[in-house]
Amino acid sequence: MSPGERRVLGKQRSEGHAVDSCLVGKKKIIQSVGDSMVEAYLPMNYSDDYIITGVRQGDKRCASVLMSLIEDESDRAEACLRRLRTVAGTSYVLGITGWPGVGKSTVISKIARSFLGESKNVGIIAIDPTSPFSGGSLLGDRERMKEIDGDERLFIRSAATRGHTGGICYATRGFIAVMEAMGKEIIILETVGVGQNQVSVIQVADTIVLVLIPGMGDYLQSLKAGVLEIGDIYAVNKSDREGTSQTIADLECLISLNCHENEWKPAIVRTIGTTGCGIEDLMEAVRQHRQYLCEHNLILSKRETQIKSEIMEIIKSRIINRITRTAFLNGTIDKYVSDVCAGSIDTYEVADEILRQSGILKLDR
Amino acid sequence: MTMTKKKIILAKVGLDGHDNGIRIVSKWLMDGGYEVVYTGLYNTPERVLQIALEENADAIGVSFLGGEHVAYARRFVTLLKEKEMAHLKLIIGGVIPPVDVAELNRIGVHAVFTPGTRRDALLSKLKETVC
Repeated sequence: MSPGERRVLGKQRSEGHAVDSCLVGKKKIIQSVGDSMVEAYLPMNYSDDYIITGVRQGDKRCASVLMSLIEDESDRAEACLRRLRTVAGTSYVLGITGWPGVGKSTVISKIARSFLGESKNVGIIAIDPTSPFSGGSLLGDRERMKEIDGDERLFIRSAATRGHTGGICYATRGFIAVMEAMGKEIIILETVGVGQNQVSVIQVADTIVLVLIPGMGDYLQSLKAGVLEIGDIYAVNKSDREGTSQTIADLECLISLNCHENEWKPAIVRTIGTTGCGIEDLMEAVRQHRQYLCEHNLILSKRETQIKSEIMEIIKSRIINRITRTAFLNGTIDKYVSDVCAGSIDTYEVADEILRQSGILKLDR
Repeated sequence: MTMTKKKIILAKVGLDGHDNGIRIVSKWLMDGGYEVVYTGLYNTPERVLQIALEENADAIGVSFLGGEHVAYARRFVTLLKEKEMAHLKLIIGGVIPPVDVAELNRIGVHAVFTPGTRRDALLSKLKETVC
């Protein structure tokens, strides 16, 4: 072991910091595991070049490391993603959403198996909520996908929302970019069923399947804005239960109220996720929607809308990062807060002042 | 701006169907700020490692109640070395006789939790091991 390597290992052990990312290539480290000394390739030593080459070759380890960098919002992630960008539209993104407990993961497991049967390369991103109190999360969607977990052509990644609102995590776009670069033809996105506020799922998926179970809420519920309007396909799961026909009737009513003439008419399918019943119908509906999008040249325009909102998100995030570095971290915000409470300044003036100080606002408003 | 979170895979391997303990520990870890990938019952060590790779986990926690902990510990450590994943922390808990703890550590297990371990003790030992 060279002195350089020994120093690196020592630093990691004592300080727990990630190693400087300018190491080139994979660095072999010798570390002790139990009684023996073992060679280990520490993922934190992977260089950007190594990660990008690996992802393009479909290497799961490199993809997984990059996804963690993206989740942690590291600067390296941005650098890698910029180099990885493929032409928009290489993968097909299927969004599966719905309330907790309706059977999304079970249905996804069957859908993925069907795609794998068609020899497609599949990626699954399963999102679960982060507790706002503890900051931790229980990522349990994967447990329901046991029957397909283990197929080489399948990559499943769980992710926690980490405080991003709207039911979808900040890193999802990055994950999709990585999976596209890996060569995944189909990406299935399972989102947190937080109820009404699911609209941000539209921003990343081409086809959205809303999974429901019979007897959920009454007819009036279905008219509220938000989640129920975004389905391209409605899957009534656990359809062996009572109340299925009524739920389907309610959905048909909702669709006829909302449907405009030249648009896609949302399809309704009955499924039983645990047995696989109705999954073929669901796959057929997905195929038809995809065909509809292709025929009407809608895939590219969807991507364009997504790109626009991604640009806006990056702008917002850059502005927030810039401001929190200046005002909040310096503690100046506390002074402003006391002045507002004392009545000597109002919150709008404070906001303008902070924006001016950070260099974002040059002129007086 | 997000802080780095530690990700842990919790699994039961083999045919043991007693998951009460591991479910409780999942909740403890979630409350402790970890991201827990709960993989449930009837896994193989190979499958658990594959999951750890895809999830880029920091640690693997396995629960044993049937006395098979030493044999599986060896298997896990061997596999971790083979797959170049030796940087992951291996943690074992469940019905582990205290006399086996030294042997498990010798094999390469980073932390062992014996019956009766309290929540705070588990969290602080885990923090030492993983963070």
